[in-house]
Amino acid sequence: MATVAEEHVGVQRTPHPSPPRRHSVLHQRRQRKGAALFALFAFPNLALIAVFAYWPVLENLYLSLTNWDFISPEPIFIGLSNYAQLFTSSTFLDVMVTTVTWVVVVVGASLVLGIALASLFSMKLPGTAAVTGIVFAPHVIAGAAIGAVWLFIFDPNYGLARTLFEAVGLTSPSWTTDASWALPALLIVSIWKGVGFVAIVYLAGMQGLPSEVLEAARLDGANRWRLFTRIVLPLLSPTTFFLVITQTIAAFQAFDIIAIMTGGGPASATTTLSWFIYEQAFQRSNVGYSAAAGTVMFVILMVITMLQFRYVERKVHY
Amino acid sequence: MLRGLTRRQVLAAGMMAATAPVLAGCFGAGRGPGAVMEQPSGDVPAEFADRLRVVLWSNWTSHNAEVLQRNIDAFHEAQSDIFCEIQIFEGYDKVEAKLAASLQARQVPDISVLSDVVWNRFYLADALEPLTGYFDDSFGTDAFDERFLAEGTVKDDVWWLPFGRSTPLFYYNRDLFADVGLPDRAPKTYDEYREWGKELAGYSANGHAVSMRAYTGGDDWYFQGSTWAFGGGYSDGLDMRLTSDATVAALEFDRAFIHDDGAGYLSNDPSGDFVAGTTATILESTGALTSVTEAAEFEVGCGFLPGQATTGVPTGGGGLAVLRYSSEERKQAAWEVIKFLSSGQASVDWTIGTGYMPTTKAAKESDEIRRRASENRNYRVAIDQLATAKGPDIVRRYVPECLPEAKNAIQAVYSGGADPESSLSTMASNLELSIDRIRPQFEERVN
Amino acid sequence: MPATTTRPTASRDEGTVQARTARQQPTNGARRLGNLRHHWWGILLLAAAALVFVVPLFILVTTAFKTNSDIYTWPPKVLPTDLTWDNLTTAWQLAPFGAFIKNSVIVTVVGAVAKVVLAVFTAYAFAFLPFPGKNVLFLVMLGALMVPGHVTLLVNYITIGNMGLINTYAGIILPGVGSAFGTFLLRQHFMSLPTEVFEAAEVDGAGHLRKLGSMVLPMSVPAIATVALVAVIDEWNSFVWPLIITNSVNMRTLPIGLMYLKANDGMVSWGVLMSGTLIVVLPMLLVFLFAQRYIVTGLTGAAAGSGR
Repeated sequence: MATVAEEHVGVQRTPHPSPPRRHSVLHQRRQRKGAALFALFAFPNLALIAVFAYWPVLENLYLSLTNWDFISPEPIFIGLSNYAQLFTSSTFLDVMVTTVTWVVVVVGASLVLGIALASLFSMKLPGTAAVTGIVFAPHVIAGAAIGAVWLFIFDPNYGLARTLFEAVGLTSPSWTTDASWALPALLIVSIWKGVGFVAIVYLAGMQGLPSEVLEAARLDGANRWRLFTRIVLPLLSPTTFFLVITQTIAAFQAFDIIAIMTGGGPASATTTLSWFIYEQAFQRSNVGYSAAAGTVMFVILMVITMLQFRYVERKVHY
Repeated sequence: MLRGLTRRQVLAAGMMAATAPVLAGCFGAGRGPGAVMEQPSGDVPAEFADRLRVVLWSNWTSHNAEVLQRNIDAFHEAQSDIFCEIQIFEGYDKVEAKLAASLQARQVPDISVLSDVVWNRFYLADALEPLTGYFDDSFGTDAFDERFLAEGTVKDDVWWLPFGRSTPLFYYNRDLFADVGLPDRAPKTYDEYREWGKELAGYSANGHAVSMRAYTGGDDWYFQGSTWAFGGGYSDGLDMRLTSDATVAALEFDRAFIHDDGAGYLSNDPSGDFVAGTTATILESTGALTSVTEAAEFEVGCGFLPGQATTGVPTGGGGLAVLRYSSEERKQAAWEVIKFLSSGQASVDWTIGTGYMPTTKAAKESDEIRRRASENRNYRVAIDQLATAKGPDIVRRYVPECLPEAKNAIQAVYSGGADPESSLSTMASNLELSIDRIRPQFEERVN
Repeated sequence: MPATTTRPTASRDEGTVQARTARQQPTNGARRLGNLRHHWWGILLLAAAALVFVVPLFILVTTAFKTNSDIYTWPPKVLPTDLTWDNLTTAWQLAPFGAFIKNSVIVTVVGAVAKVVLAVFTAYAFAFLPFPGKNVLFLVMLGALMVPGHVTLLVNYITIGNMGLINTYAGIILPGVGSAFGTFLLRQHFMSLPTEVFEAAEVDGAGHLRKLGSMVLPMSVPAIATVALVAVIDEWNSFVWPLIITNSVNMRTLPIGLMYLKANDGMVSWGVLMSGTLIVVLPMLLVFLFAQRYIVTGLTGAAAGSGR
């Protein structure tokens, strides 16, 4: 589950290089004292991370090589069978398709709408401050609460969806129980929740753009659209890259909304990888299989995060 | 950066190699015979601090939970040694998931409510306490209805006692039926059901169209019943019958009802829709009778489930089981709780308050239940229908994957109009692996 | 703001920004009107955006106070004809919201404080203290950010179980408290602080604790505020873990209390559910209203106290 926290990674400054050191006895003593103090300051946190984040990963890796239903006393070692089953399963393929669809649509729409909103906000029209706040508010509200409200909105009999559909002469589909509409419903909710964050980050990026370049381009006679596509967008590419990565990771882990709105259904139409992992372990008692899927997710996210660090580091060193 | 990554990989590999034996040893310890596990923590009110604490895990929320709590309160007044704490998890699934996880964390409740399709798995895993030995002259096995007790008996030992047992009923909106001109009863067969659905077509009230039936995708219980009605079923022992003509016909009926006739639809909340008047009928548990009747602003009628080639009435609901890994003392205390809940006034109050079937002789023969059955025709229906009811098919009971696969299959048909035959064959092929997995244990402990 | 934009000196930037702002946002009334007319489509878009985000919240609030006859009716009634507290009282009866609120507050406050304290000390250590291989250690720590939550659920449940902490506040708080994010953000920030002040203090003989307390912390208030606020939001909205780790309904926090309310023996009453949702949503909205500036400022990285 990506937290609000993890999306803020990357919003940082360039660290200053430390001055060169000389080696003297006094220095070495200070080094040892410093190291001891380091242990005192840092180890509690590191230990907690080790126990509650890393240890489960290893344990999960082990479980992925076993067959277990939670209830029997011992997991049974079966080697790589779970992975073999996973990669030849058409159900898992569907899950991955749903997941990739989710990620691409949510991240893509959030970015496009986000930058559009940011451009709108950067014009500083009256009321912008209030609207910025309103647009960002869903980001801080619990996913479960947002899911509950939208469940009502999507109600085909009494919800807002029916009002809107009948206004154009159509009948509202039964969103959360219709296999073709359930995923779009969740995508809408997910985008609604996340676009504010993207807009704010883009806005911050825009406000940090070197104004001289913009001025020069405007004086050169570039119209607004050209200014945007040729100058602003490329200058914002670090922001874009940061957002793509963080939003992708968050989208992969989206859970609360699925849990409260569709429970992965109907007929697995909204079963993404994160829901699949949960469902296999806690509903189907198929722990080893779930662990294998969890490992797959971990690897995917690891690759994505590594890409981010590679890119950012390269950029920093001009 | 590259160097750092490689070092990290080496670090990770080294850690893994070193901890592999530790990882394997994480599970299984402390589960042998005679092992005693702790209780889960909870709330103990001050007044009961000096009593022996028994923990009961229940799936019932709000209305039914209140009824249960009242009975437990009466239990506390009736004696002064035992305090029973109820911990609630919404739905049979959540209780099962929690119980499974807790077995691993080695903290188990003393009593747990388990649904009729879940307790068997815990039985296979040797997690339940055999209860035959707890009966005595004052409270014998004849205290319970034989049919229900038999469903919880394996190899002559009682493992699971009936508590909140039910069958589905056919609920219908009597006012609406009268308005449309349908007879004031349940349809005798599914074919008749379908005809009535066609008669209702186009009817609307309060600004929205009214459907004949709101289907649920969250429970395959009703589908289990209709497979029997059509002459099919899920399985014969561990041999699957999902792709037999009769079973496919049952699902095809639903598909046509929903997608050809437009008389039914898949709903998130069938009983809510029924109460709100969006659907004329639902198939729903007897356990919902009280709450639905109270919430509805129209006359609620009940009838038998439709038949077809034959009757198709599944039993369902939950029962109580004692966990083997509780301590001797607590298991005895747990038995006292169960005795209290299953006899006398408590037993009567439970069935009247919830609408679940009376499962004990005490309840069935009590004046209140007798009076209720004669006064309230809906209540009577449930009791009478029991004569034709049977427990779930073996595969549905013992194979964990069966329920999620079944739900997937019916959702695919109800929601997306998928072909019933292919949905059922997908389900059958998905279940093969799981059946093979439990076969050895099943042969050993059941056959 | 990503760590890639160049940093011209403050004065030049401010001057240009001011000049630009003056050109775009005239304080003169007439000119502003002219501006408005020119950007009428912008105002329209702003209004549309506001509408998209306000309407669901509006629906939430009004439905919470509508009577059933106003909700379950067609055509829909936008505003309630009668305001009723019934939904709220029913929700409060069906589920112990008082306990939910208390639990959420305790878990959030303790959890957030613990997270911040741990992050501050760990970040300080990484930024200012020597340790062999600390850079590698830092990267390893960051790896934890990639771990998807579900992967950790069962094992953490067993670990907490072995500690005897299931269904306790400690059990809810503990696994989330060791956060890599806060450490990361603060370490970057600490390392960007001007070293001259520290060097002067070191000459004076100031120890690390004094350095931390009287110099680093005051210079990092906005960054710490950001970490704190993010921690508060995460703890309050946390869902799956509290769901698994709590047994008694009275130990639940608000978001999963909402799930409990929704279960309600299978019948969803929209009014009751919306009022329960409102209780869950309101505190965070209030926090957000008051702290919006900090959250947004933290994100832009143009922290007020950086003084560049």
